[in-house]
Amino acid sequence: MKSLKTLYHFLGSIYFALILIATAAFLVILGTLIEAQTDSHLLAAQWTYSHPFFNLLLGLFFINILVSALRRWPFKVKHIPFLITHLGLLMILSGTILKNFFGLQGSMDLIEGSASQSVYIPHSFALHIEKQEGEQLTAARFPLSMQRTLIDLSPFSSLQLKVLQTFPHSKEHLETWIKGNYAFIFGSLPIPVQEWKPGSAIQTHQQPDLLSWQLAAVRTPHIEEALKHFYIQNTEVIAASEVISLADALQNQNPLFHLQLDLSFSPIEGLQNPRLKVDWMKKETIEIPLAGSHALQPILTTPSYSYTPAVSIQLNGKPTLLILQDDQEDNYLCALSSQGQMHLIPFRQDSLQNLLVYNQGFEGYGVQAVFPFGLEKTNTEDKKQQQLIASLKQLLKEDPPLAPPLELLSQACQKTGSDLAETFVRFLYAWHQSHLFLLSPDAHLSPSLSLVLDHLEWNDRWQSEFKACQWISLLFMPLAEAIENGESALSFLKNHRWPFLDQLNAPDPSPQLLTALAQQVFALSSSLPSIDHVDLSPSEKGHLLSAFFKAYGLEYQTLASSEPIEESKTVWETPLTTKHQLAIPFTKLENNKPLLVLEAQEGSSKQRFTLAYDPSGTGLKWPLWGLYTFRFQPRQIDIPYRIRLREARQINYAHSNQPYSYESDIVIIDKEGKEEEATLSMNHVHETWDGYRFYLAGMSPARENGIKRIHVVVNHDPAKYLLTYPGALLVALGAILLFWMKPYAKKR
Amino acid sequence: MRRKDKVSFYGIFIFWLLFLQLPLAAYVAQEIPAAYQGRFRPADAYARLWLYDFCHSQSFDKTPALDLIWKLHVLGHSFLDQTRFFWLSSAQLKQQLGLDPHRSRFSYAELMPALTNSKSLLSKIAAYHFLKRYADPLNRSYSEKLELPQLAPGLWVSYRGNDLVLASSVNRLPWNTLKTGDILAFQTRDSSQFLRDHRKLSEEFLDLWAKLERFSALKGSRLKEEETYIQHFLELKKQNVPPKEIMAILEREHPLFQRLRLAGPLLQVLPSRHFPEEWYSLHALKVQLYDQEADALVPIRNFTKFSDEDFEQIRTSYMKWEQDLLQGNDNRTLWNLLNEQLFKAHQPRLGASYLEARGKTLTYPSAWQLKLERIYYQYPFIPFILLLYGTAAFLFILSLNLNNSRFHQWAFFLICLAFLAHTLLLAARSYILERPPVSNMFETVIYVPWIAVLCGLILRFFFKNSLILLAASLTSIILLILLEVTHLNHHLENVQAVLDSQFWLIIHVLMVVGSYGVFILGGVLGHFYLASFIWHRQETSSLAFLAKLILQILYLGTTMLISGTILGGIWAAESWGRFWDWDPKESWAFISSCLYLFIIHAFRFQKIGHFGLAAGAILGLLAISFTWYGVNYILGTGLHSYGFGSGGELFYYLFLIVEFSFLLLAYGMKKKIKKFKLTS
Repeated sequence: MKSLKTLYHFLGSIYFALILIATAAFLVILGTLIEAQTDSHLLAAQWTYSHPFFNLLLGLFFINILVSALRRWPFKVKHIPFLITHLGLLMILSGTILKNFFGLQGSMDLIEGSASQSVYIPHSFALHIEKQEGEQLTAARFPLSMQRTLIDLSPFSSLQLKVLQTFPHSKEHLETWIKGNYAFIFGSLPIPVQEWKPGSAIQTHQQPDLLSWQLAAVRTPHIEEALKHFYIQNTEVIAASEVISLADALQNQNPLFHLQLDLSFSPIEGLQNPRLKVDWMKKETIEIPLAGSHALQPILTTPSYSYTPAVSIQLNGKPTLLILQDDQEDNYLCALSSQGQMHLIPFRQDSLQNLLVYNQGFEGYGVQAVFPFGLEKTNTEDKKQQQLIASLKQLLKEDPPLAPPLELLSQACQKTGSDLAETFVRFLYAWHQSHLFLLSPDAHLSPSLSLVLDHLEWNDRWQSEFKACQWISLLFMPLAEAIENGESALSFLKNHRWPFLDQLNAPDPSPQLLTALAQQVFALSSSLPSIDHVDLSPSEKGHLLSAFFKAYGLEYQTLASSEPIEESKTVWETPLTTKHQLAIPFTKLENNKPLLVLEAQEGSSKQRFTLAYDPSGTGLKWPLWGLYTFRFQPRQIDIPYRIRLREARQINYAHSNQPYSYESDIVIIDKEGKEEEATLSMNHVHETWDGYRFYLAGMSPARENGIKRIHVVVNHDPAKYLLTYPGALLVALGAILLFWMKPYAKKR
Repeated sequence: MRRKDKVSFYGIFIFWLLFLQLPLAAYVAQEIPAAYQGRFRPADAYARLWLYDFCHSQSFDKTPALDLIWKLHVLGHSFLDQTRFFWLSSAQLKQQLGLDPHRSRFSYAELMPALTNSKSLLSKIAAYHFLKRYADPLNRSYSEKLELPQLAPGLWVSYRGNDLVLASSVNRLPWNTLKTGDILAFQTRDSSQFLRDHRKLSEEFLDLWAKLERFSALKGSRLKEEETYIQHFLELKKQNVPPKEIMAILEREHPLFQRLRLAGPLLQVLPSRHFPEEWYSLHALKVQLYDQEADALVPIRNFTKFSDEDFEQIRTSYMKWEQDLLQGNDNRTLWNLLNEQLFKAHQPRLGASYLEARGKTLTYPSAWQLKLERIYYQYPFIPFILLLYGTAAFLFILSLNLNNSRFHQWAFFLICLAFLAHTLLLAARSYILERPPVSNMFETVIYVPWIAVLCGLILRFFFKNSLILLAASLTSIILLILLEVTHLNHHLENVQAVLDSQFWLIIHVLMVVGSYGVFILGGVLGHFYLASFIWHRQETSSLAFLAKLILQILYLGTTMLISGTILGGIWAAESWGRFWDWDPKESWAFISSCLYLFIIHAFRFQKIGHFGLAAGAILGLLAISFTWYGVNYILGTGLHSYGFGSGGELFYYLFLIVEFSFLLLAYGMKKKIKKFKLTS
């Protein structure tokens, strides 16, 4: 009894109070030092403020204050200030304890347009499991302690889950096309990955199911070299109807043409305008883009009298898909079409091209690569003509006034009953293919075209034009010969004393110069003598018609659109998986991403798998047996409100990036579906009638455009108005009375 | 004249000089507001600030700041290229750039090539930013290849093994020095050490580079944007494009607002008619616009909030003045006329609101705010107040030693005067910025001694003893000297969004920071007590009185600190969603409160005596100094990061050592006396 009394007095004594104050202060100092050293509030809290010992200390404070007050019983007037102050302290302490048990303090991450009704508790651990049985979807969350345990999974009674091991920190890599030493593509057997070094060959694999696609997979830090090697290895050049492999063509110093492959790669931009440069007889240089919307459409880079190069160069590729992985484990897919076109798609860790979700994730996830070409060897020129004919038909439907040469042609078409647009395009294309200034008078034309041309009638109406075309033909023949011999058009005209040299407003050489020349002949023709002629053959008529078109600047190249041609597609797919790698944990615990090793058992099936922590609980859920999905995430608590973020904005001070205000418009939907709009801003909280409070705690990104993401703190404190705030008021009031109320002070 | 009259005569004279003359001077001055870094400031203050940013001084080569700004505005930066204009103090950066470590001023022509050629420095900075992003928990993908848009969009860095290499280079100064494939740093898997070592260097580098970029952007009266606009117009005209299309093309390629914004970075004094928070440079007056009907370029119509008449007048005088200056003739009459016109044009809008946010609005400064701000920058107020406090303290010491009432009267008069000036300084800051003066380190360092002096004056009223005033003036002197030597940012700036809020926050901060002033005063009195104790080797009657004073001060301070801290908790609960989170600042407020509660409890229950109380006041002072300075400058973490900084740690540790030695000395002395008493 005596010792109990001593204890009672000690518990209420000033000594005990001083010891408690000093211990608390010491612990807090320690906490701030740990936090400063490690930059981790969580670590500091673990060792001090959240440690059970600190809670014990708070409890002892409570007892000390209570007993010290009880010891003064029976109370007198002079005790009032003391009692007020210490009662206030007791109220604050009990308010804090009550909130820890019955209150809610969590976070919510919202993206503009999204909604949520669950709050997560940062740095806590839980397992989110979903099960699919037929149409029915069951979801449940289970709090986890990081010890090895068997988890009680009450809604999923048939499933048994065991935590085999936990690790404090891990790295999660997303794996797409290459997983370990094999590359995976749906519909094909795994392909072994080759460690590639410059100089060695790239092994290709043929697979029966994939038609005639070849597959290859390499891992190398030298992506650019690998791509170059890959292209050269699988491509042939057809130049002047000679087929040579690209490797030979690049090496051999062919007297006729010289080739150069210009292919540069950046891990960020991908292929940078890859092209084949052809130097033809040292006269013309042609660039053939190998990728992009204008792939394989040769561009003449040296000036010439013609729109198209004199030589036709074609490429022939073995359709191949190459999967590459660099030393940062980023994947690149590069496909080669049968016509030598390339297309590269990067799949980087931080930016997948797309994401496929199979059956809400129960069947897993995948990524897709779409290439703009198929296997078939389509004739792009044919398609181009079709496109041109179609658009011309559209135009001709409205019966527009026609240019004279077209009118002439249309008359012939009417006689034979052929279609004007089609005849026109076929004629231009035949002319274009001859690579001559005018269609040759003895060209071999298709029968249908010959038929129409045969019906061309240069009757009275067309006499002056007919004469002009004859003169053009007369002029162009020696001109073409001279140009063939290396003379320039201007010097030829000068030598022959062409009188209107100054008016030729076009660079030499250029196709426009010839058009301008033809136009001059046209203007002159009325004062020129007429030329006798016998009956003309269809091709001769075509020859003159091409002169007519020339004067009007109507040629295949000027009409054919450079719009990309709709092509077929090839789609490849691969499953998306993760690879977890243990990492050295940070001292700043907040940054760690713990890893779970789990064992699941249902009936006779048993499987082990790993899950990495998803700190905001918004990432992918990983499947098991097509039945379950799992996510390792913070604990989540559903609140009776659903919050939707309409818009978030940051308002800056004038002429600066310093924020003046952060605001976000939210809609709060309660259980009955009643909606309420509110604007949260820094220091402006929304509180519902039953005490749920929403605070705007963060906003990103800072730049003006871009979808904003906000961090909302949600809090529910039942004891606040009852205990904490009144307690604070009492402490302040009591302190004033305690220090300056006369009767008490007098005692000293 | 009797002596008392003389005192009051001089007093009134000084008062008149100080507090009537200045406003009068201000009243005559015509202040034009200019937009600069988030605020609209008087042109003169703006120029001083701008200049201070670059060369750490409010005038350059004896040229007043404003004159230099006008000159730069018209002539561009080239005339300053060879002059040592940039202030650079970082020894590390100077060493990295191969610059003379003994100099602190460098010219643009020296810095630009040094920076753009320093491949090793740029590599370090890029590596630092990569590792910083790589370690950032928001980088969830763990991609080993990252873009660094804060340095330059398109700049990518990646790991190759354990080394860092540039994955993609950019064509932009100074980063174009680094080429794709360059190795930036070797063996950097352990990033924390690298980050610690390079944080300061990186900050200093980015700061310097931002200044160089700002300086490079000063192109003078030639407007590049306008030239391309005119060129484009001429081309379109040549191609016979119809007027309607010219209009559309020009507006699409060169949007008008973009051109107005890019017209110039200096002297942004023209308020936009369409965007109230946007002001344009005077160069915008020269912007031309395509007129569809005339099919030609015409000078832009009034795009400002000024009346059309004012706008035309301003444009005419500005064009004329600029033309004159370009020909080497600085026409002051025209310049004055332009200023007068601008002043007149601005009058109707001063004081009006321009930006609304939820629950708060921003306003243009009023005419008086502009005038006051100009005066604030023009005169060295703090040295003046310091001088007054210094003289007062000196006279107090004299009067205490000589027991001379005349000195005492003068001292009392001076401290009142100093307090008045001090109050006016704080009031001026509050009036100009429309907020209480406690939201950055500089402001708290003026506010704390003000509270100390106020507390001293109040206690003087109750206790009729001037020792407390001596302590108060010493407190002020120490803190104001600290303020002067540390070069804290004393400029008038906007408050951070978090602090721009409620009444309760203001009360919380005023109370907590105010308590620092009270405690420092208590600490100084504690020193008096202990020093006197060491001197007299016993407690005299005046020492007992001193102890009583200390107790009262500790009561006052503790009440303020605890109530203020709890109010802070309530404010945090109301606006952040939590009452208490053991943030370092909160923790140290808690620790200080515990310490003072400990002392008060121990004293009230007779566990310690007067000596202990005085020593406790000093210990408390140390705790308070850590709460105030240490949390911000030594710990440097936490949410109360409104005044974080670095520097001065060494001096602080020295201060702690001196204080502890002093306490030990006093304690030793007390022990000795006790022993002596016992033995005798």
